[in-house]
Amino acid sequence: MLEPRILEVRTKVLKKNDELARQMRAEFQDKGVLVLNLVSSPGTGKTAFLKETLKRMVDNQIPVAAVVGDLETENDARRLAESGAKVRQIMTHGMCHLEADMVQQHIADWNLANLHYLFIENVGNLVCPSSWDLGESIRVALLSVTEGEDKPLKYPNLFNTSDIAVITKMDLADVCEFDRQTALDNLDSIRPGIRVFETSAKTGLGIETWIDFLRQMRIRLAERPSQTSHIAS
Amino acid sequence: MGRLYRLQVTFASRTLLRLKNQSIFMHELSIAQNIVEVALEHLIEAPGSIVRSIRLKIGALSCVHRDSLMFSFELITAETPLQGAELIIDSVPVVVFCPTCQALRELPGIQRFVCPVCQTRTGDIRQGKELDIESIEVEPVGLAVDDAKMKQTNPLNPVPEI
Repeated sequence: MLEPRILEVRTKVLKKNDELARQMRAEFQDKGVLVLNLVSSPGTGKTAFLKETLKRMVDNQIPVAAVVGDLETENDARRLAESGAKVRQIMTHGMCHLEADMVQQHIADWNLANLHYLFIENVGNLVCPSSWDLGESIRVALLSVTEGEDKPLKYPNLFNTSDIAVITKMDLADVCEFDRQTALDNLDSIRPGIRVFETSAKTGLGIETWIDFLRQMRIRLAERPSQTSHIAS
Repeated sequence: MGRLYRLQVTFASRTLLRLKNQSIFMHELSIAQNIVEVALEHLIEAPGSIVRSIRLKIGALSCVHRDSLMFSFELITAETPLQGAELIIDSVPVVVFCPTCQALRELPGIQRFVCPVCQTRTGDIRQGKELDIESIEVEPVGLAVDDAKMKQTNPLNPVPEI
């Protein structure tokens, strides 16, 4: 009688996170909020890129907000808040990525109906964030010209699970002898057909094109009957 | 369900909470915690049992390091009904659909999303993102064993005052 037995489970390990992320995505869509999850290594320039994006959106009276994840300090939230956008810091205290419930808790008192765009700046890390769905519509992988063209090949998972790639610090491309074509080829090898934006937060290169793209994506979001997955892919 | 067994499940949950509070996180530790949570939910169907093994399906694109996962799992399951449970990992390669061949193709790695037969680039991934729990092997052991176990202390999970 006391025999071992097999319980068939057949479930996703991260089902709790995935289910919450799905609910959040549905709510974001319902309220008309385009949500972007920004992932990259530490030092790629996510914050500078995001700050420039937020600043231009705020200047154009576009309702936009951001949450930013870091292990410690509220420095990034302070930097982003200089744009005039609503910003909240998520301190993970050692945790290497954000999870859906952390985002949910930190925006719980925000009225989403008043927002058009929400950016989630993930913890700088090219490994862990790829597993965790945060309810975003678009996952954006950032890569700076200083990191080397082969970054996508070294960290294929993160680039493969992203919908869009943004190359940052293009103003430094020449100094770094950045091989643009190789970088684009590598991105396309990991994620065939991925759309790439080449930008510089410092000179403003590519930022308007990027914001135009977000506008189109938000329109697309509203047109979709019900959003179950990322929309840019 | 036995009272002691229920307490054990409670303690296991507290271990998770303590780990969260102690912030000793890494990627595979979070994954291991999620595995334990799912397993504990299912243990309710098998009161008084311990877990012998958990079968996982892990895709090449799931970004999970096998040894780290095993280590994390061992760490967080000590002195719980999952102590000593074996993680059986079935690795799943990436399979894409090639639009030229109109066929499913297995990729040798995860760096080139190119059909290995005709060299067409394709991002139409049909397999390889899995991070699934397939099944859990449980063994009824009765409450006496649980009782003995309860008296031991896991440094990560000291038996609280009741």
